[in-house]
Amino acid sequence: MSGPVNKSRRNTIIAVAAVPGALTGAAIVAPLVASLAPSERAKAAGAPVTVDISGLRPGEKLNVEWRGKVVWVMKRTPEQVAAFEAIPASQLTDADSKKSKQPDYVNAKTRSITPELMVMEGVCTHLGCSPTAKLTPGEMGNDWPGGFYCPCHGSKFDLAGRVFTGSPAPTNLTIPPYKVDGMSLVIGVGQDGKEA
Amino acid sequence: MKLKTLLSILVLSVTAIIPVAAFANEGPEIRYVGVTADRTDSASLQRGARLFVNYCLGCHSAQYMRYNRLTDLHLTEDQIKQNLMFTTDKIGDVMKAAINPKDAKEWFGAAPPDLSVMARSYSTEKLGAYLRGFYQDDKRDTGWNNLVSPNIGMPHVLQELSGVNKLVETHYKIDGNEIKTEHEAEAKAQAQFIASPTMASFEHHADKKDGKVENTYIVRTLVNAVPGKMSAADYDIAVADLVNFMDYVAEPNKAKRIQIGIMMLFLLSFLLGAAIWMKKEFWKDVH
Amino acid sequence: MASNHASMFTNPVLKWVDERFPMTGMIKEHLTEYYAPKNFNFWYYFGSLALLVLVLQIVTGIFLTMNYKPDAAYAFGSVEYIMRDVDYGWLIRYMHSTGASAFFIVVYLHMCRGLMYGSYRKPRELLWIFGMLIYLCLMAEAFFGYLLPWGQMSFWGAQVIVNIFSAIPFVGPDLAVWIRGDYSIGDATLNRFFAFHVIALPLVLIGLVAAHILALHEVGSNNPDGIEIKKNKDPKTGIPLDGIAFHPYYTVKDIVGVVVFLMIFTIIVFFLPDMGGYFLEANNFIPADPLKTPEHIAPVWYFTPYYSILRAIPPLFGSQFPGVIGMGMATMIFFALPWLDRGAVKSIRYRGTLYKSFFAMFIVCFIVLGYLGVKPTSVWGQLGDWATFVDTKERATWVARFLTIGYFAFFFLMPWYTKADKTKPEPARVTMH
Repeated sequence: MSGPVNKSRRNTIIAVAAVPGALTGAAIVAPLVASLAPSERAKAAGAPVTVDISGLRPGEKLNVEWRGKVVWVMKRTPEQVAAFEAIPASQLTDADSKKSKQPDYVNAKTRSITPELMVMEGVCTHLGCSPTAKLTPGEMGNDWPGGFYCPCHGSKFDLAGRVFTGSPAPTNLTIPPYKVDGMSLVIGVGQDGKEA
Repeated sequence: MKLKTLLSILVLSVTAIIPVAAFANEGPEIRYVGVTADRTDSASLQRGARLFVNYCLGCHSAQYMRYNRLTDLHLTEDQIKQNLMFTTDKIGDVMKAAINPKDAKEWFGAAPPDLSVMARSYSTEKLGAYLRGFYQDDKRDTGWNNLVSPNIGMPHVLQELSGVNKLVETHYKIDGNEIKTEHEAEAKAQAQFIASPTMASFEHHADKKDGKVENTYIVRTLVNAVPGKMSAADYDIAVADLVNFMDYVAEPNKAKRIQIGIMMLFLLSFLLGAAIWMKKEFWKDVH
Repeated sequence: MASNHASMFTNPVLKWVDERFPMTGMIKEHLTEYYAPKNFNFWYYFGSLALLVLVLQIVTGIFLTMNYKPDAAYAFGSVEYIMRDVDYGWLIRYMHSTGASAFFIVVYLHMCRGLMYGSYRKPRELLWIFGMLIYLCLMAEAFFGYLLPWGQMSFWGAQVIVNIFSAIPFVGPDLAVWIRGDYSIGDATLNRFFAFHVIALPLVLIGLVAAHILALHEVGSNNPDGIEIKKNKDPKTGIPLDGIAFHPYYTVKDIVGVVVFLMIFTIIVFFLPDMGGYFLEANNFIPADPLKTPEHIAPVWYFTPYYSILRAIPPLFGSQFPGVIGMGMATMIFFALPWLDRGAVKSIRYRGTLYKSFFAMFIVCFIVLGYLGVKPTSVWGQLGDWATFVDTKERATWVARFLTIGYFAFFFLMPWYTKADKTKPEPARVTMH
């Protein structure tokens, strides 16, 4: 071994080589990571769902499956709308739905495009159980205005999917993108044309 | 790295890569005279797609191919829905045949095979030859026979485009007049085969007669008997488009694959330079 | 081990680990203080490349398993699903299918290196045996894996190979049924082959590779001169005079080899994934059909030398058993190499003409047998009418027979010709070319 080793020169070379080396490594890992995303088949199966709502009577609730989740479609009666609108904001965790997920085009209060038609993911925002419908006022105690109750950890929601204070669920129920075209409802693609 | 080492890597990789020779061919030799289409020509692929959905998808499926994938051919989803989707209304669906596979099995004796990867199991050349190889044959139930796949169960679905072709068969063997030797027979047959302006097949038959081997050379060509909607030249182009589309369906990722490959080689060549530099620097220590 | 070495780390976390786990010790023993001969040439890239391919195969294999379905009704479709519907699934699949062939190319070159430089000889007999076990395991792994795409070639290839077992006298037919778990290759066969391919054999393979590397580092690497560098040590440090630390010298060198390999690999994966039908066969794009045999069935190229030997050996009393024995012997005989070779020198560089001729003949036999194995036996036509009293007139079969004799002559005559060989004197120290 002759002459002193120029360490800084070697470190420079290693640093230079590390750049294409890291890129090559990333190029090998990238397809593996990408392969875990939903496949074309999953995307096709998760395509928007069209529901005929012509037969839906006031007060009636329909369960629709979209992307493996249950979506509630319900025609709320004017009394039901009035009942949840009368709930004071102090009883609700997120009365104006600021922290909750819903498309921009839905009313923050009624959490729907039109007051009557409710389209909502029936998935509790706490740990993903599906709440049970408790639509009759007084069903869950005297002051119960009608709404949903999650059997897993006791979260309570009103008929606009807003969570009552004291429930473990942090936010209101999620509203999926949807659009209404006459008597047909499309879940999965919004009024603004955006797909979920 | 030394030149010798580099050279030996090259030689090794080349010997590893180049397939030694093609498989021995059994049966008749087919000469396919005709046009082929370019995989990157999206107009050709679009024409091919139209032919495919109109003529093939009636009986065959491409059950691994999704309609929305056809946006690869520079088509919008609306264009695909309006022009190419007849068996479903969901853009994410796979290309399913119009007929029930059970009925198809009853009608044709065998279920029409799926066409998703047909172009990978048979070469595009063979597919093209097959689609142009149909001729009228009254001995067959379907009324059709094929030069490339004799006695196949499939009828000639593109008949309205190509019209009706008839088989012309010429036998060459020693007849004592024009052909005196077997060598002459073979040479004459070969000459006709190679000179044929359309598709032709060449077959060698060896029959044993009274302990003697009698060699016959058969050349088969097709002639048009009833013209179709298309001229022979246009039909060739249509077949080339259709085969081009089937080749695309067999591997929709091909274009992307080649693109990424070029980028990857580019990146690796940088890495190679750096690696050689690094190796040289460290090996200064070794004497 | 940890106590023998002062920790090489200043980082407190690594230091903490080092006090409880022999990290420094292992790094030193296998990398920075493993001294390899300094005269490694081109042939010495293939060991590290084999390890690289093993890792690639395991990683891509894991991701393929996430989308593959080992069910006769869905297997073919799930492969096409991977090729089309899964993001970059096609790339992962092509890497895996190309990797299988690449593995064999690399391993064959690695074995050829061992043959040339006498790397199997004392004290490396066990190292060689581990290597051979890896090779056998790899063949089994490749065979099981080839059934999974459930194409025509998968199905009929497996059918033919499993039927080889039915040639064993008495128990054969029952044995074949037992292996398949059905009367022909079926869903049960696919399911069990899947289990062997994705877990059983990879576990064995990883264990054997670890044993192979440990054995190597115990006895030390051989080199193109075939002389022991441990005979000449620096009296002060005890380091072999002709040895250099594996890290950094051979790590930086192997990186060059890895990049060149990746470039060739990239060319195949992205531009020639079928490799003209040798890596992915055209018939395998047709779903398995038990009622329709393809015209010409051949195993994948890496098995074909042995397949040729199987076909070349004539049946005895109508039984294929002699061929099966011949094929088995052709693979197993490599194990005996350390004891067959009686040469005075290890490396081909100092062997005489006699050994070199036998070695050249063996390589030619192996390659031509491999070539004939992918072809039908009719590939070279028929012998003329002069050939009477023979069981077959196919020229290629006769060539394969002579090559089979040549193949075995290399091994069986080895004790004689290595001893009779006029060798050249070995140098005292390694030479750099």
